Amino acid sequence: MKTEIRKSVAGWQFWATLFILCAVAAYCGLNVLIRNISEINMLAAFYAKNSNDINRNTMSAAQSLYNNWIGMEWTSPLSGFYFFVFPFCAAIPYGLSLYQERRTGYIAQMMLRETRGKYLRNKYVAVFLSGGLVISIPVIVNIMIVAMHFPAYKPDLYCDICYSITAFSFGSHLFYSIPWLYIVLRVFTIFWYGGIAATMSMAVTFFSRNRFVILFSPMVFFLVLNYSNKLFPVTSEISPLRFLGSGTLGHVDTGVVMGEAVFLTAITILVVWIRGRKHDVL
Amino acid sequence: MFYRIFLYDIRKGLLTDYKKAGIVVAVCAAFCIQFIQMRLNANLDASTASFGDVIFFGLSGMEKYKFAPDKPFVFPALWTLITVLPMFFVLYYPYYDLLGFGKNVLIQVKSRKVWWLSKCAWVTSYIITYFLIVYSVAFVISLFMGFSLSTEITKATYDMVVISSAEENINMGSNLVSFTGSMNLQLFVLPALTLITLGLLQMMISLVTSPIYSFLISSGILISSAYYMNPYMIGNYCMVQRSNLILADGMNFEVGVVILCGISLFSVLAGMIIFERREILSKALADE
Repeated sequence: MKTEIRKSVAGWQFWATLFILCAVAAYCGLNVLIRNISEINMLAAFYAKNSNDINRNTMSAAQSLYNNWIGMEWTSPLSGFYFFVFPFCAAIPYGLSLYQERRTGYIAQMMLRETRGKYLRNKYVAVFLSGGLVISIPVIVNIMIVAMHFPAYKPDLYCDICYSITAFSFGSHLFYSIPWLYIVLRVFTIFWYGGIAATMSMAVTFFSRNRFVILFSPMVFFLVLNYSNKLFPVTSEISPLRFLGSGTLGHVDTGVVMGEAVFLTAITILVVWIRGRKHDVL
Repeated sequence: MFYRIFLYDIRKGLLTDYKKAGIVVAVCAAFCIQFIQMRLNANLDASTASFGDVIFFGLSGMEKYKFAPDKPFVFPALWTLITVLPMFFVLYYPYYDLLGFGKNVLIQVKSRKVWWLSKCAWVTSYIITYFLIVYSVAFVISLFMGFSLSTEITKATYDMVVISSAEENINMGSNLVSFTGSMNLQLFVLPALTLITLGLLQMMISLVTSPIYSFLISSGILISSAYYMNPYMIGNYCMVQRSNLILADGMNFEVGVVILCGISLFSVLAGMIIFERREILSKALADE
């Protein structure tokens, strides 16, 4: 297990993808910072001229860290892009490893040294972790950048128009009561879906011999799911491409977010387990 | 020699790839069904729609995005699916060919230029075929549903797609121009030309980086185009809703053709120069 995890995060694909995503996340953070600084300067200039203006509403709760991290802001085009390409980026670091090991015959060597089940389990965990980490670390970087400028004001219900969270949506209660825990929950959800996307490409390895099909299948799947949201009139958001970031004003149901994650995780585990057990390595 | 390689590419990279046509047919059928569903929800008589309406609906994209604190940027799901799919389809054939049997072909041809130009012609043919399938499926469904086979866009569909979006964005409402109903060039020429350009650019970039990262760049261009309405964000030419026949400050057809042809030419020439200098023998068909 240790070796697999080390392999999954040691490759240049992991670091290259992490670097690109960190750059995207940092751009989003800096974009928000620069926009806010220019707004503050404009307001300062206004109040310098109108010193007797008493109608001051700074809406501090809206200018908070909790409202400006990548998962909650939509001012930057790259925040949308980040959550659009996440299934693809999650699969890049280690999603192809099973395919590569089958192609090179390395898998046969491993099967001689440990059981098939153990090998697949270790591989699954490593792929899941690499996908989750490569997607969630840049989000944490973004939070750190945003936190350099925005204070962590507790969200205020009176400023709810400035938040992309509808009533009774996923984690809304936590957002207003324990906001830091809400961020932790959201980052964990992003990590989980990153892991799912990576393991999805691992599962596709048993059906395709084309590396591009393996790599892109999670993205195509999530794109189709995203479109299904429009095709069928469903009451809550079902597309992770939208609900993981802030790309929706629709209702995000906790059951759907968690249920979908559990369902997709179970499907990938079943496919890897059933197909992997029967698949001849020779 | 060029024709022989081109025919080989068509056979290997297009005709034997017929399974992907199934995906295109499914996506196209889905958006036709969505169109019919939306018309029924709006209490519009299905028989008054036209073939042009179906294509207009599929390639409409999204209205001009203007940032507002209460308006998140939501990328257009259908448009993204229709444009990203061909980018994925044309991504890997040249790469596999170069690292596999293509090396033998290169030796036979004795010219890298011919090989590269053949691949450029293949990308062009692939995208044209893709759009032919999309239009054919829409045509057959229109025929089956009793729609008019005209390419004119009806006022009802225009209202359903454009006016409903404009109402959400009050600032944009005043920007609309009077609707003429005829947008043949924007419906049938610009989308294909845009994706051909993007496909050639993607193929050129994949020579420098790798197909995976070149795909990331082309998707980035498409998503940024949805966000910024700018003549240099070429994805805008593929969105019928952003044409100057819909928006006063929309995309101009002539400017679009010039920019797209310029980028295509640049991609072909730059790719040719890069490919001439590229080491291909040391790179086996190994994993990236």
